[in-house]
Formats: sequence, C-alpha cells, structure tokens
Amino acid sequence: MLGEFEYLLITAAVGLGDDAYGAAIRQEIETATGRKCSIGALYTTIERLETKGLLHTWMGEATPERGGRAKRMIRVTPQGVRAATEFYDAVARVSRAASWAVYATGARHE
Amino acid sequence: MSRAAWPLVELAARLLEREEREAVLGDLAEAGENAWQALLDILRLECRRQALLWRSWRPWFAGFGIAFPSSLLLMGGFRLRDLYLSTAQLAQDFRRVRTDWAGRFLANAVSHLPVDRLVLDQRFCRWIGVAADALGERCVVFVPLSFFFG
Repeated sequence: MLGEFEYLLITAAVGLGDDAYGAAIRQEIETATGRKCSIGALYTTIERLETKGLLHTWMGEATPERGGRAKRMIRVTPQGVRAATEFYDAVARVSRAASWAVYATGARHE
Repeated sequence: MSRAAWPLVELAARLLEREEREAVLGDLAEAGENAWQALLDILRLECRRQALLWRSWRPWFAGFGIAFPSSLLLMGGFRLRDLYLSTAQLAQDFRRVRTDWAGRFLANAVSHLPVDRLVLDQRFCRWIGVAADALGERCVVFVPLSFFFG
C-alpha cells in the first residue's frame, strides 16, 4: 500500500496530466496541503515510485524561466493509478464512521 | 536567487547524477528559491540519497561481513608474520653469537663479545615485544602500523 506522501504525489501528477514535472507537482502539493514539500522528499519518492513501476519519468524540454535546464516529466502508470485507487478506497472505508467524513462514498468519477 | 551563492549550489549539485542535477537546479530556479534554502535542499537530497543506500543489505554485508573480518584477518596475518620473522632472526643471531663466542673464547678474542651480546639482547627484547604483542589483544592496531613504519 502507498504511503501518504506517495499518494499525494501520484494524485498531483494525475491532476497535472501532461504538465506533471518536479516543480509543478511540488507546487501542487504545497498548495493542497499547506505544508512545505522538500526537493529531497520529492525526488527520492519519485525515484522510489518509478522503481516500483508506479511512475514513468523522462527528461523534457528546457525553458528560459528554469535557466535553460530540462524538466523531469512524470506520468503515472496504470499500476500507479491502481495503487492510488486502493489507497483512496482504504481511506474512504476507514473514514466512513468518522464525524468529519462528509462526502458520500461509492460515487467515484472515472 | 542571489548570484553570489549560486556557484555554491551548483557545486553541491555536482554530487547528483547529471539528469537529476538538471531537473533539480531547474526546479529551484523556477521556484525562485533563496540560494541558501536551495543549497540546503540539495544537501538534504544528497543525504537522503546516501541514507537510502544503507537500506539495502548489501552495504552492511560488504562492510561488516567482508571488510571488517578481512581487516582483522590481515592484521592477524601481519602479527604472525612479524612474530615468525622476529623468531627466525633471533634464532639465527643466537646461533651466530654462540658460535662466535665459543670460537673467540678459545682464541682469546673477547673484544667483540659485548657488541654481539648487545645485538642479541636487542633482538631478544624485540622478540619479547612482538610475542607479547601477538598474544595481547590491546595492541592489535599497532602491530601492522609498526610493521610499516617501525
């Protein structure tokens, strides 16, 4: 099963689609959680998830705002989607009886 | 990002692989982070990378399973070799002095005897030292060192 940060990373990457790369995912996680996301945690997690086959990365194009440096583009694999779904389902199931669980479960948007 | 500290960040990033260095430095530039924060981020990333290596059993096996026992064996080997050489030298000197002493005694040439006895005493003392060292546990590090530098 995924860890919390792994789930956040995969979910952010899926949300960004074709624009998923290190800085964008980091920004997305920081905005969503309100917590600082360190480069070290981000890149070691990306590497771990890629080793597990949940992500696929490749070097993208360079842009001027990055000082002419290339991006590391990220795409979530079908296994990654499956692992994130399992994590989400587990959290939803365990939260069913919790007072803060306001959303009805079972209505997933595919 | 302040220009002055940027070379430091790039220098620290050299420890990363080429593609990862590109991506990380690009991300830091795009985020417009403070140079010192960027430097800390890169150092933290490198620390994480190094720490991750130790999560595998391989470095532990190489360190404590192979390197450490081998170094003990090597140190023991040097000790035994030193003891063997010292013993052989002592035996040779003893035989020579005994022969010379008998010959000189008979020939009434006792003038060289004190010198030879001094040499023998010195060899004997050295042998005692090496033997004690080989038997003792506390000097295990100093024997190889004395073998090289002594």
